[in-house]
Amino acid sequence: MSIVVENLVHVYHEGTPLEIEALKGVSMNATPGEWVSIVGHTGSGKSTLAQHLNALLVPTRGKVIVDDIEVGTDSKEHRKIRQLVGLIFQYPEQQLFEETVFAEIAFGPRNWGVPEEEIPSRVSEALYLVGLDESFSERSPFQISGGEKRRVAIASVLSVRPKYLVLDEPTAGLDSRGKDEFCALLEKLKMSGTGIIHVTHDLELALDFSDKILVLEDGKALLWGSPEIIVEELIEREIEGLVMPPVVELARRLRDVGFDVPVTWKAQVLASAIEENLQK
Amino acid sequence: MNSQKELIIELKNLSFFYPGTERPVLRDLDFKLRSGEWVAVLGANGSGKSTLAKHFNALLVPTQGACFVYGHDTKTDKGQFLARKNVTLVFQNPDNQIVAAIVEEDVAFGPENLGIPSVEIEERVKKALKVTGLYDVRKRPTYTLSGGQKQRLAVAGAIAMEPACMVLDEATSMLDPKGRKEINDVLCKLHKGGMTLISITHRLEEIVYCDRCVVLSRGAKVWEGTPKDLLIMGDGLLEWGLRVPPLVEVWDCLRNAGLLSDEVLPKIDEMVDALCL
Repeated sequence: MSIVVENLVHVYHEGTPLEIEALKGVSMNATPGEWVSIVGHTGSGKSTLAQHLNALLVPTRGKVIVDDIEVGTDSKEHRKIRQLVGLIFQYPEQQLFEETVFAEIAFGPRNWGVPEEEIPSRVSEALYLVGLDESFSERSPFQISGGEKRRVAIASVLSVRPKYLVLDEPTAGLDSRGKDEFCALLEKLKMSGTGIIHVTHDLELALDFSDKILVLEDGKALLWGSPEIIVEELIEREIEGLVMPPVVELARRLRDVGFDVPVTWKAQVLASAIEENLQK
Repeated sequence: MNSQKELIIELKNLSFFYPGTERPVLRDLDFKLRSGEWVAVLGANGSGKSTLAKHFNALLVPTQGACFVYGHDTKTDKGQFLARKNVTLVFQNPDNQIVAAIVEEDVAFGPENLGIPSVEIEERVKKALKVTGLYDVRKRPTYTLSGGQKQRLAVAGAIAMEPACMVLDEATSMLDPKGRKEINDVLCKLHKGGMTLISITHRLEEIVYCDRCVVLSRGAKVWEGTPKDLLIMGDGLLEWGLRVPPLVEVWDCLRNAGLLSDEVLPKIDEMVDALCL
């Protein structure tokens, strides 16, 4: 069971003067319990790819397969895919609309036909996962803090119990504590078996948490692999719009002047390597 | 250190409550800003940073205490006039700050409003576009700009007003790393040219170029000092919702091991030079 993307091509407005090829043959995969980050500059095709993963878009060419269901072959099957893959857009708190937090979180499962007697436990479970207590249930989603709103928005997707979660820039606008808490939440979901697909331009964050990273540039998959592989490759070439994490940049500069240090984004690793070099 | 320089903004025991609420958003703040300084105001979400920013140019006035701009209370007409004239705000979302369809027209909008003669407007626009690196795209429609370019345009518009002081409220938080770097480069240039700046941010990466830092927590000033003294606090910063960036962590380890002297700041160039000696 996994999400598999094979040579995916997406052309917007095909056959018109506005034709744009947003994805030019991208391949990747993600399994439940894995954290995959999609990194790239604005306009690299990240969001287009994200929308393919739950059948909001259908491939122009190539394949997207979610747990053996191929997107685009039978549109009735798209319903199943949308249940399997939860999609969370940027600033999801802007999509809140219900009167209470309970109704907001219950909306998804009710829509999917989950029996009414099961709804309260779905809501409790989702609240628990995002770290909000039951007292939030009866509050208005418009009278809680920004960070709490975002949690409610995510709970409203988790209550459908998706197997995969696709998140488009979920930490935008959060401060460092908010970011830490949020990543800890995603890690918890990952440990419980959810596949995390994280779209971001924050390479530092992606390196810290991902099992695999896809670097997109101009609609093409430039790099695909573990964080270790990605940094090794990144120091060899400049990528438009991607700024090297400062620790990697420091490691690179020191290697250039003859230090024997690894290419790493981990502060402690680099610091000890520099110390060893200077003690020699 | 700067005591001989002219005082631009002074806060005295400033507290602020939003109407109808009982919890102060800002508590008993004292603060001085002198000409040519670059001060960073740091704090977690909800610490009162943006509310404070709005006091600097009299969009808000204190509930208790006072805010003075060039010695005049912003509650008076004179004080409000001076604040609006001399202190310009740049906000988070670049899209909300652009008014014209063409880049150079957008920069000209502010000075036109001030009734500046058109020959001088042309001069100011040219200067602002050059400093922000937008001169080559001056004829472009504003909607074709990238996020970083749009935010530089907002800064250019502020520069063309020739304010004494510019306040940037999370001006880089909606930008990608490349856009953030572009804005920071512009700010360094402006600072060198003598502009007085206040950066409001929760990103500690951005403070190494500032002269002084002020930390807000739940509306109160909990710390004030140099960027270096703030950065060596390490995990102690978590209490205020701030986290030391990884590069500063490396810098701190090397300092503790005695490999970097006190003068070296956590900047890549300075660190490489110091380690090569």
